[in-house]
Amino acid sequence: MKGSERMMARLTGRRGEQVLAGAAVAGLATSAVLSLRVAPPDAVQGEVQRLMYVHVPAAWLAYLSFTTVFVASAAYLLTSRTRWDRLGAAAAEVGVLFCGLTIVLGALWGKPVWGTWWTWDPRLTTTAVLLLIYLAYLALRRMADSPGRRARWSAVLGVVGFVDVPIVHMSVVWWRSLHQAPTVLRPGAPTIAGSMLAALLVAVAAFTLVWAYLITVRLRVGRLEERAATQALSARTGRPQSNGQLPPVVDVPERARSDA
Amino acid sequence: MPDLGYVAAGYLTTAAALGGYLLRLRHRARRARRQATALTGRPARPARP
Repeated sequence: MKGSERMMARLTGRRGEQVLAGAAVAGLATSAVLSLRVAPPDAVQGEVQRLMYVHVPAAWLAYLSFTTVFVASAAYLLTSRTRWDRLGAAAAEVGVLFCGLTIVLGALWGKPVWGTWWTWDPRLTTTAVLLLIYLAYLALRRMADSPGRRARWSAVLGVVGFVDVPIVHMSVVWWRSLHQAPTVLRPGAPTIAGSMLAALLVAVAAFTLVWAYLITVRLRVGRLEERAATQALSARTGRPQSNGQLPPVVDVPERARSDA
Repeated sequence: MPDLGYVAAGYLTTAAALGGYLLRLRHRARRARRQATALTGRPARPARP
C-alpha cells in the first residue's frame, strides 16, 4: 500500500470518521456563534444577510464535490480502478445535496431581498442546470446494468458535466445578473467587512469538515453495499466473486434471498 | 415573514438536510450489513477502504 493510500485509509477508517465528526460539530458550533451573534447585520439587507454564512459554504461545497467527481471520473477513465468510481459516486451524491441546499437557501434569501423566490437569472439558471446534470449522473448510475458500463458512462458524464461549474461561477461576471458579483473569490481584495469575512471563512471551514465527514461515511456505505451485492451474486452463481468487479444491480440481494 | 424568520428557516433547512442525509446513510449501511449477514450467516465485517 502506497503512502497516500495508507493516509487515505487512515482518514476514512472508523477512527478517522469519529475525529472528523467531532471536528465538524465543534466547527459548526463556532460558526453558529460567529455568524448569528458576533458578525454584524448588513447595512443594507439587515438580518437576512446572515443566510450568507450557510448559502456560500453550501455553494462552495457543491463546487468542491463536482470538482471531486471530475477528478475521480478522469482518474477512472485512465486507470479503470473501482475506487475512483466509488469516490465519484459519493461526491456526486453529496454534491447534489449541497447544490439543492444552495438553491433553497438562495430562494429564502431572494424573497425578502429581491421580492421573489426564483427568477431566471443567469446564476440561478446555470445552478439549476448544474443540479439537473448531477441528478442525471445519479440516475445514470441506477440505470446501467453492467458495473463496468455504469462506471464508464458515469465517468464520461462526470467529466463532461463539470463544464457547467466554471460557467456557474463566472455567470455573474459574463452576463448582467441580479445575483451579486463575487466578493471573496475575485481578482483583487475581498469586498466584505473583516468581521463578516472572518465569520464566513470559519463557516466555510466548518462546512468543509462536514463535507469530508459525509464523504467518508458515504464511501463506507458504498463499500458495504458493494460487498452485500457481491455476496448476493456469489450466492446466485455459486461462484465466489473475487475479481474486484462491482456487481450488476443493487436489488440482487433481495432476489437472491427469495431464490434461495 | 420577518427577516429573522427567513434566517431561521435557512438554518433549520440546512440542519434538516444534513441530519436527514446522515440518517439515510446509516439506514443504508444497516441494510447492507443485514443483507450480507443473511447471505453468509456471519455478521458483516466493518468495511475497510
